[in-house]
Amino acid sequence: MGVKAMRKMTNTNTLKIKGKVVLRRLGEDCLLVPVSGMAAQENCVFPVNETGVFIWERLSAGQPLETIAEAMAEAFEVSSETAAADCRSFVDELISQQLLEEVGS
Amino acid sequence: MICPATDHVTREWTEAVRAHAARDRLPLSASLELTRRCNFRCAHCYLGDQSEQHALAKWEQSGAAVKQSLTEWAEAGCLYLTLTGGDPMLRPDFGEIYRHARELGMVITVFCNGTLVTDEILTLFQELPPRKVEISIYGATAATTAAVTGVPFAHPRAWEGIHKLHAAGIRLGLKTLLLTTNQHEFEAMEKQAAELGVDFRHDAALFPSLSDGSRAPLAFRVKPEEAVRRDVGTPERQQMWREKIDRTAVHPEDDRLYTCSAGLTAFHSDPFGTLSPCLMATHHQVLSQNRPFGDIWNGELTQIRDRKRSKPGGSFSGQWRGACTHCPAFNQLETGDEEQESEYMKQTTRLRYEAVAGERS
Repeated sequence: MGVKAMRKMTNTNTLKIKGKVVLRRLGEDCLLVPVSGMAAQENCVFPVNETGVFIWERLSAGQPLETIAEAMAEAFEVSSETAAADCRSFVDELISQQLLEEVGS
Repeated sequence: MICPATDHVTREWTEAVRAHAARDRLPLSASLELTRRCNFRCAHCYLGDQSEQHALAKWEQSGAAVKQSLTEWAEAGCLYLTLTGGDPMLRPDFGEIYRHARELGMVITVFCNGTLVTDEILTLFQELPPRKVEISIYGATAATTAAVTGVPFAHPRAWEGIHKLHAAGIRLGLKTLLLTTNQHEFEAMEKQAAELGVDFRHDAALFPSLSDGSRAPLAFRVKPEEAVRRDVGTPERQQMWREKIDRTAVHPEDDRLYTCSAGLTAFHSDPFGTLSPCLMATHHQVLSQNRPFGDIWNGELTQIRDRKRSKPGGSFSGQWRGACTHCPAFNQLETGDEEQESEYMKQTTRLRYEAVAGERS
């Protein structure tokens, strides 16, 4: 499924991590290491910045995207719209890299 | 927020992380000998007599202790882990240790001889894929492989393991040690890897036994001309050496003795819990004795970085240095002096340089 198609999905969908993915912090660098599932088969690791870490940690805790976007707007002092767009964009990237999937609720 | 996982970006990012790790002295890479026991009896092996290694099994770290170490290493920033031996799959708890390391988010390469790949290990690798499994092969035929390894089953069982892993889609590489006893099958081994569609690499750098300093393995060294002929034997390998020589030439000469990653971003652990900057730097070993890893990493393991060269010349300086494959630890094992290289290593370095330089002119 392409990114555009995923963007059309409604917010009633639930986000689920595909396989097991470990967030690693190596000094100033952070990365997501898929250890099982499709992404792990591809032998890739995924560098993420602090905003990505902020979203990932909350996704891992099972928080809905809307809640994460609200927390992000507050933490990074950006508008709700900007935070929501950034969250959606990050999630779309994770989905396209097989780290995350959107399942119907 | 996330970089696309293209090869290009991953390579750039990897270089950046390595640079940050070097700047901050993070232990990014570890090699862990899970055991020095092996089911082969190779006369050229740097581990020496296998009956002695089997007798030492009772001193190997327990699985619980190994897992505790892995957890500490991961917390300290270790990302890349090589599990090696002996053959690491001889340990009944190999799977348990592998799973622990992988679930910590380590990226794992496994070195083995291919004969001990069970269905359980295969299932584990399918569930939690390694970065790569590198299998050492010692000949292209059963006869040569048996002659090198001292066991008649080596070739058929290794290939059974290779085919199993390959069919299961596990990333695989083959490698060999170039020896007087298998050099006549080198090209055939390379062809076997190509037919399978997997990487192949080789090394001709034999060194004395780590356990007792015996020089017996050196008797299996091929002539320098033969080693170099294989080193630059394909356009790809020649290109690789050309790039390494060019890359090294742009850096100013360094007065440090150890200019590699040992003790800077990498370290080694033997099966008994002894840490060192690398496998070969046995003269810089530290018994961990339940001390926190961070204390050793920031203590004894950093000392190697402060060593300076005291002798001018040799392969570590001048135009040759990019064609050099040995290091101070290698020299120590062979000549007893970190700064004194053997004539053999000097000759292979110069011949390799000339082979690449000659191709240019």
